[in-house]
Amino acid sequence: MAKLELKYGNHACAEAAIIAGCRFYAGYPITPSSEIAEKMAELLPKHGGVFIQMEDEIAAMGAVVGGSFAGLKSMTATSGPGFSLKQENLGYAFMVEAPCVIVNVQRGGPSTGLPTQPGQQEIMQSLWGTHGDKLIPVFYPGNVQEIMEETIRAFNWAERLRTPVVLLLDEVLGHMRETVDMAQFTPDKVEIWNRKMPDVPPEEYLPYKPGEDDVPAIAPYGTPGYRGHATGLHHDYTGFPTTDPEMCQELIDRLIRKVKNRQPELEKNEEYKLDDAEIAIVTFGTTARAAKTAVDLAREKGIKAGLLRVITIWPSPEETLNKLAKSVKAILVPELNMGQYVFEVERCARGEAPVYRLNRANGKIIYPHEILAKIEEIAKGGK
Amino acid sequence: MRYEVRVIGSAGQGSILAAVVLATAAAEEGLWATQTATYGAAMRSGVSLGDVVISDKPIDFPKTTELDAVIIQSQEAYDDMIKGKPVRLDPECSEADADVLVNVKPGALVIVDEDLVQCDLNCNMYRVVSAPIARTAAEVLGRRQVMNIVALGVFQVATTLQFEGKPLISEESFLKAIEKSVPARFIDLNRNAFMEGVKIGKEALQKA
Repeated sequence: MAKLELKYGNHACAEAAIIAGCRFYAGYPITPSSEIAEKMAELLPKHGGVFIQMEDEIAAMGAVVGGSFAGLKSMTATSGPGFSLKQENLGYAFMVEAPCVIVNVQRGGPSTGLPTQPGQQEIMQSLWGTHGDKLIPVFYPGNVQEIMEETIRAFNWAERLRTPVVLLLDEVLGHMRETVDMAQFTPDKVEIWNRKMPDVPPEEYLPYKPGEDDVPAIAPYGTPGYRGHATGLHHDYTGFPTTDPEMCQELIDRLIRKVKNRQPELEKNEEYKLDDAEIAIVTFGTTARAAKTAVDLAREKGIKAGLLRVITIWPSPEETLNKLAKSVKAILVPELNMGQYVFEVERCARGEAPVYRLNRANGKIIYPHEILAKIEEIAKGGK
Repeated sequence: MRYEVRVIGSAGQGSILAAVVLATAAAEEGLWATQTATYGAAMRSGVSLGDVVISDKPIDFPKTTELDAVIIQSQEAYDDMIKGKPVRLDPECSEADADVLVNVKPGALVIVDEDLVQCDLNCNMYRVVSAPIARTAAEVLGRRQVMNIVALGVFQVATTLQFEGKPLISEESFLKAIEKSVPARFIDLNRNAFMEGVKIGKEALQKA
């Protein structure tokens, strides 16, 4: 039976983190993400966890890596400029394979931009923000119920693959109250994954020797007998630096492969009225909610529109997007930025259908009637 | 069913809290709701508003587009709703050049404070319910701060005009929502405020 409760988006993220088993939060408050920190500061001590406010976002991300290596499920939340500051240690977390969740409640950028208004401008940065090659899972829920689901999923994949996972929200989602069915989050309904532990005696232990799943079993620091070493430098199975070209290539191949190979399992989309669609909208987050209404409005006018709402932004649903491009006459990608995910959609469409854009970066959300107008234009053969 | 409500007033009048209580009451009633606000600080001056969308199924677009009801708590909030058009005093509700509210459906419920808001709305276009909301809060309950909750009481009753004599949300759901939304020591005060609102709401409907 449903148990409907009104929940604040940012609070739902914090509550779900606790359900997922998060017991360490390090952060630095920034609008519009601060309520996540606020709620974690309230909840963590009650669950035997630790909350720490650091001197800035750089230190907060460093502390998250430390908390994770000490064995606790760890997270931080930030927004806009704070997400930029976290990039260096996010890359470090990827390299040393520290499971953690980084929430970015997107506001208008660049720079300090529009602190209190929504944006979707970190679609690319969430994957490419830190230097060097990287592939990490990036999830983007579309409502408050899903914020809870995706927060738990982010922790699960972070632990299973020993990788940072980015959870994207936007100001509208973070600052919205919405009905949530809490009956979906009772312990018997929620699946929780934990990182694997070494199954060898201390003398045989090599912290960065991967298992068949490409994931190493790293003992939490302080485990008696299990000595570890972590470095952002290229390293071998011992965790100590190496410049051996074969080892270095093997490391980067594996770090990317362990995520890429799971793409089919990681993929998550919502398909709405796509079966007979001639014009498909591809979008995410708050903009997808306007798009869904726009699909209904277009169908009332006799235009066969449909929606693919992408929830796992990275790795992208390459084959799904390619198949979609083959089945429709045109694709429209509305997003609250000057055109980001549209590049990925174009790449995956491989010329099978024209891809149109609807962009905005002024802090205002895109309304259903604006997407409808664009659909009508495309249907008439304009652009 | 998609039903959109706005609570709008001056800074400090608790419009956002009223919207939160309303959305919570909808969830208590077993309905789906989204509550959004223009995020920013308006504690000392300016217009503040809280929007609520209520539906019998999960909601796609979470923001309001065309309001079914609006609760107006102050003159500057009214001016905001008519987008700066000067208010003319015309108790006869003349049809020809009465005020039009922006993004409000014809037939919408408009709840105004009869002392604080001077309005000139077309009575044929909207269902206007005018009641002594702030006065009741100050004189009956001794706390003007609870006018937002008194206003919700009026709203609860007034929705019977739109739903064939039945309210959109029951009194019980509102009372539960109040319990969940305000600090413990203010629960009784706010519950009483809501019930006083129901009372003056009924009187206002009889007059109308």
